[in-house]
Amino acid sequence: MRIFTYCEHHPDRTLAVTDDGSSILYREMLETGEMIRERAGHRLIFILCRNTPGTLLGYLGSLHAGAVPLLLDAEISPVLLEDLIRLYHPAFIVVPGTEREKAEAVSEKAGFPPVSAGEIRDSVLLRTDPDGGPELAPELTLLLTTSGSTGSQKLVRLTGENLDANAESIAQYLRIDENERPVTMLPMNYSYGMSVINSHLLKGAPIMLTDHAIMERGFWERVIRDGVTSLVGVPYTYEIFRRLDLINMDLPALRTLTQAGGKLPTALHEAFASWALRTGRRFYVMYGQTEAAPRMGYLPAERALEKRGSMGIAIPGGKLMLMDEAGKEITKPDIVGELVYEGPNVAMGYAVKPEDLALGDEWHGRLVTGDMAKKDEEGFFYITGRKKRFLKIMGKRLNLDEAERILGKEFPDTAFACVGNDRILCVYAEKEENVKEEEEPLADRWISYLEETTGISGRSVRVHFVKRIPRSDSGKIQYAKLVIE
Amino acid sequence: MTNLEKYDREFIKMFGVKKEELPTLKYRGIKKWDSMGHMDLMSALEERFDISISTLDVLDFTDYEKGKTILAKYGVEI
Repeated sequence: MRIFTYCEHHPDRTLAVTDDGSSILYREMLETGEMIRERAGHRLIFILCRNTPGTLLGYLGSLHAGAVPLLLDAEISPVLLEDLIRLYHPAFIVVPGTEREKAEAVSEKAGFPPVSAGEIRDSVLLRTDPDGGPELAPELTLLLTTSGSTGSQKLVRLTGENLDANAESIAQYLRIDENERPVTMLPMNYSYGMSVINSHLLKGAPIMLTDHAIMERGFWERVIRDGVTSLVGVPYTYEIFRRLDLINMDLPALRTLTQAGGKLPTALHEAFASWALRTGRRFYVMYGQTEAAPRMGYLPAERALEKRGSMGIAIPGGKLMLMDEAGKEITKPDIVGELVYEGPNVAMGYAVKPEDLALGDEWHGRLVTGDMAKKDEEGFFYITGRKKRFLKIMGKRLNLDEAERILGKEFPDTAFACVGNDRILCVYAEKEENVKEEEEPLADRWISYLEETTGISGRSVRVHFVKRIPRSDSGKIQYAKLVIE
Repeated sequence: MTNLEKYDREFIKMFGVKKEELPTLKYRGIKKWDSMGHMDLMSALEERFDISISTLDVLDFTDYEKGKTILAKYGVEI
C-alpha cells in the first residue's frame, strides 16, 4: 500500500509520540506487522480500538502484514462483540489490556476459549479461531462498521486502493506534509479518525497519540507541549471548543481545523471560520461516509465564511453529482437531487455475513449517498436532507426504522415510532391508559436498551407517551405528524 | 436545600447514579460522564449556583470531590 511507502523508506523516523513523551518508530510498526503475519492462522483480525500505542501498532501492523482488520470500539457491548465473533471467526482479537477480561469472557462464550499469543505494547493478541476463518476476497483490506446495532451489523468492505486514494486526496487538499503534528481526538474505529492516521502516515507526519479526552487538562498540555498543528472534530467537538474558549487559547503552532460528521450549526461555523481567516489559520468543513473511506467533499478554507452552510466540492480525484428521481443528472443550480459520488475511494460493498467477505467489487467506484442536496452556480453543494430515515447523532449513524425494529422485538407489548434530527432521537410509545408512575421506569429501560444495542448515547434520546401513534388509513405511521422535541 | 444537597442532585439527575456512588464518581469513570456529559454538568452547575466556571477549572473538574474545591473558588461552599 502506498500509505506505507514513506515509513518503509524511513524506519527510524517517528510514527507517534505517546503521553509519556516517548516516540514510537516506524520500525516497531513494521515489526508488529511481521509478528502478526507469523502468528495469525488466517487473515481476519478484530481490533478493539483505544487511542493507545497497542491499537495504532495493531491497526497499521495488520494492514502492513496483509491481514484484514475489523476495527471496533474498545467499549463495544459484550453482546455485539459476541455476535461478531460467532459470525466471523477472527483469527485474533487485538485488545487493550483494560478490556482484556471482557474480550476473554466474550470469546469463551462465543465458543472460542482465547489463548494469549503475544503483546503489542498495552494490548494483547488473543488467539480465537486460527483455523476456521471465512474466505476473503484478495483485495479486501479493511472492515469498518456503519451503524452499531446488534444483529444487523453492516460492515463496509474497503480495499487498499480505497485507503491509499483517499489518504492521497486528503493530504493534497489539506496540504499535509511531514511537518504536521496531528493529535488523536477521534476513535480509530471511526472512519474520520482512521483517515487522520492514514493521511499523515502517507506523508511521514508524526501522530501525537493521546488517550486523554478533550475535556482533560492533559489533552491541552500535549497540544501545547508537542506543538500540535491541527485539530479535528464532529459538531459537538466544536461546541466543546467554544466552551473551552479555544479561540482565545495561546496555540501558535495550530494551523488547521477540520470538521466532519454532520452539519455544524451556522453560528459555530461562522465563529470558527472568521477566527481562522483573521488569524491566518485554515478551517475546513468536510463531507464523507465510511463507504468512501470516508472523504468525498470539502469546503476550501479560503471560501469557508462566504460559502457557509455548504459542504463544499468534490475532493481531488473524485466527482460529486446530483440525480433526479429518474436517475438523470441534474445540471442546473438550486435543484434538489440525490447526491452521488464517484471516485477510487468508494468501497467494494457491504458485508452482513461471512460469505460476503469473499465478494469482489459491487459498487464500481460509485456511491449513492442517500443525502439530498443542491448546488449553487459555482458548483458548491449544500445538503438539504436525507432520502432515508436515518440520523447522525454525535457522529454515530442510526437508522430510525432499525431503532423501531430493535425496540419492537425486545418490548413486543408496545408500539413504537421513532423520529429525530441530528441532535435527538424521539421515541413515541403507544400507551392506552394514563398511568404516569409506570412511565419513567419503562422509558429508562428502553433508553438503556437502545444504548446497549445501537451505541447511541441515552442523553440524546427522548421518550414520549401517546395514546395513538398517528397512522394513515393503510396503517402507515405518519412521521410528519410526530414532533421532534 | 443546602449547597451539598443541590450539588449532589445535579450529579444524580445528570448521570442517573445513586447517592452512594457519588464519592468515587469521576470524569470518564462512567459512560454518561463523557465529554458531552461534562459540558452539560458544567452548564447545570453554573446555572444552579449562578456562577461562570473558567476554562481551566472546567478541565480540572475531574471528579466529584475535586468539584467541591473548585466551586469553593467561586464562593460556593459545599
